[in-house]
Amino acid sequence: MTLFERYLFARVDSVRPWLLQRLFLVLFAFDCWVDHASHAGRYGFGGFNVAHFGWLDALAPTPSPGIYVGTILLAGLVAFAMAMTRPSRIGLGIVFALYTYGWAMSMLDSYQHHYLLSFVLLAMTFFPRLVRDDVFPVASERGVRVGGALLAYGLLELVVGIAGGQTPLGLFGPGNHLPTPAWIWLVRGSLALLGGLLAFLPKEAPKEAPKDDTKIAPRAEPIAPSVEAPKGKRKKGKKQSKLQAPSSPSADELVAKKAGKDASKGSASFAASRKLSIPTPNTVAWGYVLLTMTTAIVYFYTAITKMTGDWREGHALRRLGQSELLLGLESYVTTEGLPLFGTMAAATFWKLLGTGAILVQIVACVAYLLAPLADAPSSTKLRRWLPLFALAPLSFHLLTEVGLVLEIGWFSYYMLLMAFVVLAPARWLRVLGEGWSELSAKLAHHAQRIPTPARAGLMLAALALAGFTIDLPGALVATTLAALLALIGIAVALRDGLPLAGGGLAGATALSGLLLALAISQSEVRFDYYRFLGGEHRRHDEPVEALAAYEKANEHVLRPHCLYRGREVIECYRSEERARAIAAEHGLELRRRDRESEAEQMRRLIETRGASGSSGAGEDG
Amino acid sequence: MSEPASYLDDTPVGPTRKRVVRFVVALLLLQLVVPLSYYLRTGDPYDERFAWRMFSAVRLHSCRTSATERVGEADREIALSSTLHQAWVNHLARNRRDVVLAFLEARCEEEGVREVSLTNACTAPDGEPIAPQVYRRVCESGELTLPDEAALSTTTGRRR
Repeated sequence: MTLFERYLFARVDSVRPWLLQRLFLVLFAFDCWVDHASHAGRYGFGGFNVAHFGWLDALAPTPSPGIYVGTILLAGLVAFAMAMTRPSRIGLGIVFALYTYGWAMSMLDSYQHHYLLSFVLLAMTFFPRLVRDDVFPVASERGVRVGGALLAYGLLELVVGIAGGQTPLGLFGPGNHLPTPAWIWLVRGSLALLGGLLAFLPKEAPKEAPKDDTKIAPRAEPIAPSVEAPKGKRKKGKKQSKLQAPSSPSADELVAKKAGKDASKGSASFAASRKLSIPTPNTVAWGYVLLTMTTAIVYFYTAITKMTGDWREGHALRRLGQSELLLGLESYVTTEGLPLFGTMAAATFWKLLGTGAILVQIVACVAYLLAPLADAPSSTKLRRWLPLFALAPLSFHLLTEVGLVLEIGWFSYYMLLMAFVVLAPARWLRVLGEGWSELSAKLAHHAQRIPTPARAGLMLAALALAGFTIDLPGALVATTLAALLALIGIAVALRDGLPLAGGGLAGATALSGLLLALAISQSEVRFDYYRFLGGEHRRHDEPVEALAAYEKANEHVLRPHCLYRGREVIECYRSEERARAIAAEHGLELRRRDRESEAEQMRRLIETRGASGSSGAGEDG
Repeated sequence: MSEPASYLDDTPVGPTRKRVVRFVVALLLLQLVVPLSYYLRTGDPYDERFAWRMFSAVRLHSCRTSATERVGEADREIALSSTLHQAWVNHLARNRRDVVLAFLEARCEEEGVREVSLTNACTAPDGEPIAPQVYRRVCESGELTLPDEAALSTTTGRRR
């Protein structure tokens, strides 16, 4: 076996590819639904288009809003369904193909990170097809699972809150762009701390196995003959994991060891027993290694790009870093100074930041190259030091989100997720992953009682609900195609004697449809889509089309009462009273954000033209 | 649909393993070569699409775009914002060559248009003006005149 093959087929802790694939696909689905569709109105506008590849212009139809929205919504629907089941290579391949066609159809989408997402999706197509039961063959104690779930949620609140994104707890504050009250930060921190204490603090080992552990967890069939496991510790019908590290004991051996230890030493510390008791199945995941190498290549080239004088001298960062945070930091280091460094000139500060950014890219590149080797039993030192490397990409992408004025969609969140799952200690991921997935596993377990035909019916109802209520071009086609794909998948599963897999796919697709409808109805996607479209028709002197679009925008505006600083929208609210109170508190101006006045202007223009008999370009439409 | 004995144990063996290695090597080479070609090739320095050049100096050029077309013997200004979607106008202002060429070609299809030209007057990120980027198409012959990329070499990091 060559050195490269040894690297490519290195064993990694199964929690990494499993968790990365799941979280990435969920994030991706919501990204497609609430972030991509709002600009779809520009596709095919005026019949002009340039695809990324000339042959697409020749082969594919001229893109339209319907084609773009349909493609992207369908990619999200299939991705979410794949995240909630044992993913199939065909399903993941469909997500990759749809998404790649989504950006390739037009240079209107020229975000380089969308190109990166295609590579990520392609690599994920070849990840091991794992589900929760493969990764956690033995359940942890209830406290650890609850702690893991709390910690996962607390960390999510903290990271997204720091990055200025919307979180459930954040809804109790004035919004993403105004200072978050201290009590919300306190709750976020407390949740994470409590979760961390429950999950990681050493405690007495339980004298008897928790009842939960005996439950039948959702699994895929056919069930391989299972080896007799100690009573109460092994899930019934669990498939045998063959691929333990050569030098590490198998899951069953570990379980047996734990049972023996519990019997003889009932008071062994949790930390010690945990190390022995919880099997950590590893796997060969060449798709995952491909993904880490791809990411390393991206960081390598971004380091090269930043080696131009403009970046090294800090000019580029200075232009991009006109945020409150970085300007405040600049002011601080130029007046107050930093410990050891003292005060420095503004130019030096930006130069240091620019050079630091290059260094961070190089560290991230090296970290991703080393990551696949970290889970090998002999890589003790690498395992110890690699999490420190994670600080480079984590700090860079967090700073990008908080400190730089960029329009890069959800890119930072993807990269933060990737850095955390690839570079964090596997033990942390196990605790977080098991806790995080507990609820969905229980839901799936209960859903098994519903027969597959009933689940398929629910799926069709959910997709129909989404298709008919979304009110965006292409949405109904997307949900119809999703239903067809899912029905084919269910039929194939039933033909192959895998009724649970078929039922799982139906349930996952039903959930996907419901969440799509919810995501669209509770976000500003439709308002943005129609107001952008109205604005463009207005610029092109097409008042009839502009009015139709503005009226649609007004139908879909969720938060019409907005706070402005000059021309900049700071926050928007559903309730006028709340908006007024926050405006007074922060000294901001309250204005309506809907398009009533623009619609009225278009009405008057149409009337005027009708009365004078002149025909504007828009009246032809 | 054949189910593996264990989803954890799906290691490729035999010819499949060889195919996997070849596929991965090909994909990695592609990922290395495509961005590298940006630095080695001559051609459109503004086409950074697959080069992982996020927030590069070229991307931060600020350009003012104007376009004219010759109909008969007279030149007339093209009102870009009411001709194309604003997103495409932004692409023209970023010197996206494929978009510029498609635009010139599309204007040439209009009746009576003999020649079309588009000019981007740009400044570098440090505020220094760059020589105007002029693209011209003679409709009848299809002859194209493209801007000289020499003026940009210091901000792209490309080999000359």
